[in-house]
Amino acid sequence: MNNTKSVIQKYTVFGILIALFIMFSVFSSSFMTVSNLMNLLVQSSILGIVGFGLAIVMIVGEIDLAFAGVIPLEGAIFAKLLTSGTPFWGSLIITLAVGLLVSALISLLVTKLKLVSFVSTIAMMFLLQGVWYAYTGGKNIYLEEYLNREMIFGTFGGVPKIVIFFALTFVILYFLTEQTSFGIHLRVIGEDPESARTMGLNPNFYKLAGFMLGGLIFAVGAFLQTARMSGALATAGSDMLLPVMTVTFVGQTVLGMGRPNIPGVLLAALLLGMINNAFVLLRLPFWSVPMIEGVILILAIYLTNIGKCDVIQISM
Amino acid sequence: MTQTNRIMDTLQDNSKEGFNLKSKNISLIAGIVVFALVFIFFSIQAQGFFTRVNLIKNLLMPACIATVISLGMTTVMVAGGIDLSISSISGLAGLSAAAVSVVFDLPFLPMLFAAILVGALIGALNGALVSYGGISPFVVTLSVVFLAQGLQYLIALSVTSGTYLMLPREITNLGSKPWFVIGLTAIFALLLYVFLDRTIFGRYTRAVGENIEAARFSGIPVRLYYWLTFVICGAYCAVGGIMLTFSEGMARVGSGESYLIDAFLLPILGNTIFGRFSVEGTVFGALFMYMIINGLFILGTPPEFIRIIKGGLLLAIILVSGVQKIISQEGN
Repeated sequence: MNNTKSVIQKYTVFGILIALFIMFSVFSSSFMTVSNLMNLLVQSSILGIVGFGLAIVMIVGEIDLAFAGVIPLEGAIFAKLLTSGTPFWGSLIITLAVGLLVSALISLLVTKLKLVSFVSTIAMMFLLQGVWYAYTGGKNIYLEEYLNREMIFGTFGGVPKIVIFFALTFVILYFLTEQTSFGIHLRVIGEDPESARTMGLNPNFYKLAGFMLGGLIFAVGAFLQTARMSGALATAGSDMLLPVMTVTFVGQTVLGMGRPNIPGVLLAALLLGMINNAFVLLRLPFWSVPMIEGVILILAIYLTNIGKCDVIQISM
Repeated sequence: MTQTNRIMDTLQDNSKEGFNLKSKNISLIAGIVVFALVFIFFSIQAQGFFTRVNLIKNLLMPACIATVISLGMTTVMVAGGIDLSISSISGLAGLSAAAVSVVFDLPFLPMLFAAILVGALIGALNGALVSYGGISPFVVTLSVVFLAQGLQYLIALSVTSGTYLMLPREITNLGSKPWFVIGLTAIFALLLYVFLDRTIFGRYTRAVGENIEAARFSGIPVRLYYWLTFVICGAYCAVGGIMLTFSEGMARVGSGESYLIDAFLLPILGNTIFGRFSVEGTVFGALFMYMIINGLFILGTPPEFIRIIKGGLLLAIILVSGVQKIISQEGN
């Protein structure tokens, strides 16, 4: 019985992925074409990259919801800099620096002032959304003539460059978190801070590292999102909150690891990208996609939770 | 968590309680003094702040809607949960009540009951998944946000072809009547106050929030009470949604979104000042927040800065409570 449970837990996401893939191929004639599958990968890329960022913060046992505020802000800063004549690389570096600064601030709140990361990053999210609103006046900033989309979305040997970038990010982060001692230390900090302390690891340093790495990845995600939309859009952040959360939480359940991990995020991002893609092809209404994402999120967590359903409270 | 850790936590909770008892009066007095000072400042500086029309129409009435929605969040926070879906429940309940009233041509009271029913149902779903499913309230309610938004589109598109519903003027006129808005808020605030602070059920709910293990060992059906807070929250959000629909004169998809930040801010502000999550704390927080916004508006602050002010205030309050915690730990 126990064995069956763990098998279910391990392979649910795989199963759903394959079942949906077959279903979509049958119901939609344009799903199984090379150009659409490439499109699907492009759609999953940004989601997956931002999901990696959140997963790394979750590996050190914290959470950073401020990404829903920081991504539109960074996008707007990047777009404004570019339209005011700053060179491309300069704008990109300033954007990344903003991301690192915000993450450093959050990590300061969490490690030094011992605030609960849930609540304080939600507050940070609201604050940054306010800053974004005051900075842009709630307007979209378009970048058609300022940004060469080919540089990111052009193909390289038949594969879109952003997909190659996604794969590279995955490989680097996979090795960093699973194969190096640094990654293992991050995990120890997240799973058992007390033993980490007795081992002589400095939790504050590793938490700072986790937040900074996450912030850097969010900034990269903000840049890619801005490039993809050819502008900084008002909905950039709030549209991402649920999908990114879904990707990281569903990612936990993949392979029965029960902890945030990079390969899980990759699979979950593909799953969500596929659902997004197929729903458009099947002409389902746009608001049904988030509903399905929500159901998948709850289902995935429920399945991993079978047998250990403690009441979870959030401390203030 | 091991047994030792748990005991340590309980001990720490107790010491925190001792600190709170001492500091409770200080922060309460400080809160009231600051409130009075800000009020006097605005009365002198801001032209037209201290007039009956401004105080009732621009300060109290918007604060009322935020209060009712935040009271729902307060209930959930009392038991140690969190609910991100409050603004979406408000929107959904307001919209579905409007749809029902348009289709069946209903007066106000059945509309209110329809809204409360919808809100309580969504709340019950939230609560069941959190309390009996053992899933983090954060994740559940985030998913329900999008579920409720999808349902809003579904209802709006199936009743009309657009994303909003106009209501008959004689019904929405109620929304601009001060006695209606303030009266409804007072009734529901009083009901919740009696429930939380004057009945055994409220005591049990607080026990679940204070120390869930101790509550379980004393035979309180922990999961039931945790579930119940989400149901109450849904119902209160629905009342807020009705008030919002009336004051806007129409029901639209995505109404109430801006109240999410209020629902975080007001109970936490009340908690910092009154030392626990309570009805009076939330009401105080609402008056305080909306007084500041109203005063700053009159003094000429551009509306874009409102969100920064709210977000900054929320972060500042969380910081204050964090510093309080550190001081209380060092005190031992």
